[in-house]
Amino acid sequence: MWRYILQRVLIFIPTLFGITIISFVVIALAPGDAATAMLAEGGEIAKAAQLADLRAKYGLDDPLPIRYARWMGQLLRGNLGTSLIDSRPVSDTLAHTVGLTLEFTIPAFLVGLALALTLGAWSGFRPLSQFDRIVTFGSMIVIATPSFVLALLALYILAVRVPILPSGGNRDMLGADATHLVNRLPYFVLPVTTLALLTAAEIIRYVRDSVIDVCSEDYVRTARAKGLAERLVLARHILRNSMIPIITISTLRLPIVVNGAILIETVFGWGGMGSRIALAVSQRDFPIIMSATLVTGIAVLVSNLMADILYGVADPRIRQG
Amino acid sequence: MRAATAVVNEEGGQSDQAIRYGTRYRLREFWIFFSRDPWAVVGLTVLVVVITSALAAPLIAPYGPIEPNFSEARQPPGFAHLLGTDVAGMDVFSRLVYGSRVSLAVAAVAVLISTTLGASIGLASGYYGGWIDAVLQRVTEVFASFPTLMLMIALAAVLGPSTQNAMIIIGVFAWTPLSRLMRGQALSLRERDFIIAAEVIGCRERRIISRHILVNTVGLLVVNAVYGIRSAILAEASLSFLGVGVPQPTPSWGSMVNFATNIAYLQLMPWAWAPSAILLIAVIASIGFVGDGLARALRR
Repeated sequence: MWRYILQRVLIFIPTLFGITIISFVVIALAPGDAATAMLAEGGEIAKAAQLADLRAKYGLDDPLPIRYARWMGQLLRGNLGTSLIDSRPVSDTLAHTVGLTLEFTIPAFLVGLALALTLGAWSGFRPLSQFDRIVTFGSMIVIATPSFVLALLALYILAVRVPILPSGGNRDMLGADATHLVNRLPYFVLPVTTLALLTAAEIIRYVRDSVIDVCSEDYVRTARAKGLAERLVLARHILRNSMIPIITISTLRLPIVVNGAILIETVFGWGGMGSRIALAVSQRDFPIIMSATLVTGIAVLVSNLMADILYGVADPRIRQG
Repeated sequence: MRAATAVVNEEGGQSDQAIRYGTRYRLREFWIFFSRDPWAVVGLTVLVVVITSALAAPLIAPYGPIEPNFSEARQPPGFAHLLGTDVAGMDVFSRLVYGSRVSLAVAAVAVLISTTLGASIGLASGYYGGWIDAVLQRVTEVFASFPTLMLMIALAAVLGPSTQNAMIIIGVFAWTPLSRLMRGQALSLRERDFIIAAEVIGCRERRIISRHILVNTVGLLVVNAVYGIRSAILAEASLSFLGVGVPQPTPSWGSMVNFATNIAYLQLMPWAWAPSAILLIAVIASIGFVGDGLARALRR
C-alpha cells in the first residue's frame, strides 16, 4: 500500500511542475508587463527611462527560465505577487475568496453526490423502468444546460418571477445579519441547488451504469441464490461494489464543478473566487487570474491524487497492478 | 483513463466488418440503426434546422446582426420584431440567427484544432511508446488536470477577447480526452495482425500511422468530434458570457446571454436573453442525442 501511495505521489510531482510552467507561460504572454501596468495605472505616459528602471528593478528583462525560477522561488514561499489594481497581496485576496467559494461548493458537491448516488442507484437497480427513463432524460437535459443558463433560469424563475428567494449576495454583503446562519440560509438555496444539480447530472449515469454492471456479477446471483433478503443484496453487495468506480469518477468531474462554480458565482454575485476572477478578468488583473488558475489547478490535481489513493484503498487489485 | 480504454476496446472491432459491404449499403444500415433511437432523430432535426438557418442567415434574418435602431429599442416580441429588440434596438431574432453562425464557426474551428492535436499526440504516444509516450502522457495529464475553463479565461484575458482567439484557445485546451482515446486505439491496433504485416513488408512508420491506424479510428474520431463540438459550444458560450469570448456587439449564443448579467435586463427584458439560452440548451442536448445515436450505430 505505501509503495502504491509513493508511486502516485512521484507521478504527481512532474505534473505539478507542468502546471506551474503553463501558468507562468500564460503570464509571460500578457501584453505589457507589471511595469507598463504600474505606469499606466498612475495615468502617466510611460517614459522609456522609467520603464527601463522598473523593468530592471523587477528583473523583467531577464530570460524566461530565470524569471520562472525566481517566480517559483516566490511561489514556494507563498508569495503569489500583488494585484495590479489594488496592490494588495494576491494570496490575501485569494484566501478570503476561496473561503467564500468553499462555503457553497462543498455543500453543493455533497448534496449533488448524494442525489447522484440515490437516483443513480435506484435507476440502475431497475434499468429501463419509468423512473430510470425520467432520471436519464432529466440528467441529459441538465448536462445540456450550461451552468450559467441553469443559474440564470433559476434566478429568473425563483427570484424574479416568483420572488421567494433572494437573488444573490454573500456573507460580506449581509454584514451583521450574517452572524446567524438562519439569516444566510436563503442565500445558499439557489447557488447550492444549481451546482448540486449540475454535479449530480454529471455523475448519475456513471452510478447507474456501475450498478447495472455489478447486478450481473456472479456474486450477486450467489447472494440472491442463497436467499439473502433483496434489501441486503442491494445494500451489501450491489451498492458497495458499484461505489468503487464512482470515487474516481466523482473526483475526475471536479474540474467541471470548479468551472460551474465560477459561472454560477458570477450569476448570483456570490463574491467568492468565481466573482473575483470575473472582476479580475474585466480589469485585466493578471496576477490574480494566474494565481487563481494555479490554485484551482493544484487543488484539482491534489484531489485526483487523493482519488487514486482512495481507489487503491477501496480496491486491492489496483494497488497490486 | 481506465474507463476510456475500456470503451475503445469495445469499439475497436468495427473495422473488419465495415470492409465487407459497399458504401451505400453501409449508409443504409447505419441509418437503420441510427433512426431506431427517436431522440437521435429529433436531435438531428434540430441540428439540421439550426445549421441550415445559420448558413442561410442573410436570407432568413429580416435585419442585420449589428443594426442598432434606437427608436425601436426594448420592444417586446411582436410582428415587426419576431423576438423583440434589445437595448440598442437590434432585432433579437436576426442576432440569434447570425449568432448561430458565429457560435458554430468557433466550435467547428476549435474542434478541428483539438482533433488534430489530440489525434496526433495520442497516436504518437500509443504507437511509439517508450519515452515519447512517457513525456506526452505527463503533458496530457498536466493539461487534463487544469479546470480548462479557468485556463481558457486566463488566456483569453491575456490575449484579449476576439472571435479568433476564442477558436484557438478552446481548441488548444480541449484535446486531452481524445488523445487518451487515440493512445488506447494505437496501443491495441499496434498488436493487430494487419499492422504487423504492414511492418513486415517494410511500410514506413508514417504510412502505417496514417494509412492503417488513423483510418481504423475514423468512427471514434467522428463520435468524438460530435461531442467535441458540444464542449466547444459550451466553452464559447461560457467565455462569451464572462465577456472574454466573442466580443460585443458581435452576436453569439453566449454573448447574447451575457445580456442577462444585468439584473434589470434579466427582469424586464427576458426576450433579449432567454431565446439564446433556450437555443443553447436545445443545441447542446441535440448534439448529445445525435452523438449517442452515432456511437450506438457505429458500434454495430
